Amino acid sequence: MDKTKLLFNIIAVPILIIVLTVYLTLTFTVPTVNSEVSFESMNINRINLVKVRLMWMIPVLCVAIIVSVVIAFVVEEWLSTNNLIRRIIEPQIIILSSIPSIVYGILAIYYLVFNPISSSYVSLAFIVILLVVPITTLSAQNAIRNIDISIRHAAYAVGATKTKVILDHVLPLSLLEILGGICHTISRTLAVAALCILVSILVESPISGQTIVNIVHNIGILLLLVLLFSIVSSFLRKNPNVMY
Amino acid sequence: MTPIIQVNDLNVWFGKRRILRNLSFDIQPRQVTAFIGPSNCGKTTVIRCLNRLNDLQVDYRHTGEILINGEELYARKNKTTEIARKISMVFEKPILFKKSIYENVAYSARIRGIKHVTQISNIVDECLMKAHLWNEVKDHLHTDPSLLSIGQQQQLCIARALACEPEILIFDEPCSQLDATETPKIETLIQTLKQQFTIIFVTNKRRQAARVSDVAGFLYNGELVEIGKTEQIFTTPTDNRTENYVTGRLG
Repeated sequence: MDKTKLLFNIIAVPILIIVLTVYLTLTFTVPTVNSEVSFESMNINRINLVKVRLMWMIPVLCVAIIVSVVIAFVVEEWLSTNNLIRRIIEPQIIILSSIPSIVYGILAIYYLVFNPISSSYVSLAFIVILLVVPITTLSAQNAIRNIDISIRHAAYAVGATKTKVILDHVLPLSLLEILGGICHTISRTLAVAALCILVSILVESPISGQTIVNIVHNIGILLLLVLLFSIVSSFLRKNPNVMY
Repeated sequence: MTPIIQVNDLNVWFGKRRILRNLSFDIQPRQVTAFIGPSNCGKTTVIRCLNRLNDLQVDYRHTGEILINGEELYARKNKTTEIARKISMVFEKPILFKKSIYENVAYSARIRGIKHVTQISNIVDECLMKAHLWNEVKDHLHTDPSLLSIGQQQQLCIARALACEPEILIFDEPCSQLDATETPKIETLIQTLKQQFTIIFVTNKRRQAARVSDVAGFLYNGELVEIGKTEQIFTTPTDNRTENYVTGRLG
């Protein structure tokens, strides 16, 4: 793979994130959230309320992704295999990552759709963190582990520091795999978001022609994005780690 | 002559497994010292102690002292990175960075803190010449090094090690992956380099050790059975185990 193709791959993910952000910003109107609104009036605004809450989760998602990658590097590069902190963190990451997204989806539906006024942003952020951090960390850890140990040894043998080894070799070589993992996580999160919007539309009664248009518009585009991220994820993860 | 490396009573463990037992030896400057012995006798562990690469192993511990120019290698003030720059290593397999030929060598120069492009360029040219690789690669310095033959890749690794300006060069079975036509090139190179550097190399090829080294040490089950002039080790060894090894009855 040449440099141009690598650059394209690295740029693809941020572009996808920007596209997603622009789409959400343009599509979702921001209603005034009043905690004293009646259930009836809230019911009318329920979909918008769900959308706004979801939109606010984008920064949380970005921070969670960055934190996950940092956790992966700290665990893999700085904590030895018999380190107590690592021995505590790793099993939790594995267990949490094996929980199906539908569980987080149900939690999100409970907070977003059926309890939208009383649920706090903190509880929603917590769901996003639980959904994102384990999977991204695990995939980033796998990407880091896949880098041949001999590359590290060769760099240490010429006097490189640990930070230099990570920045010059481990990060560039594992970047595509890490980005693939991030795309996979975003795709999973979008699927959960799509589920929340779908349920929020369905619980609105009565279902009008406008509601059907809403379903097609919102869910359709979200599912397309899910598919897009999923495809990019598979593409990035299959690429060999060649840098020149 | 003052030895450049002094090892006194070195013992090494990986977890509960004892790898090296009471090793003591001196290495003189501007000489080629070879460690020979059968597989898993601790040859690589010895040389990895000398540039502290064993520190990367979780369960590594050692006792005894290793002095480089009279200074304790494991002293707290000695940083591993600075040691690695003084004691450079070439591995069994040519391990190339995923960069161009030029960048592979330039990397070591940059690690030394050299930032000026012309200076880096000069170092790259000089090291490639010293590694007898200049003529082969001078026209395609910015290409993929994996297109080179295995022997040339190993020469590139040597050039990269030279770019650190080390005092000591360590070779860990540098010819084990090479064929009969490429091995003499590396052997000749080692002979040339000993004019400027102290060279330690590990091999399990007896004849190669006899051809290349000035001093040879025979390791067996983590014990340094014998160390002395190569000629003496191969012609009049004092220990039966050494004699059995050099004559091919052992290992």
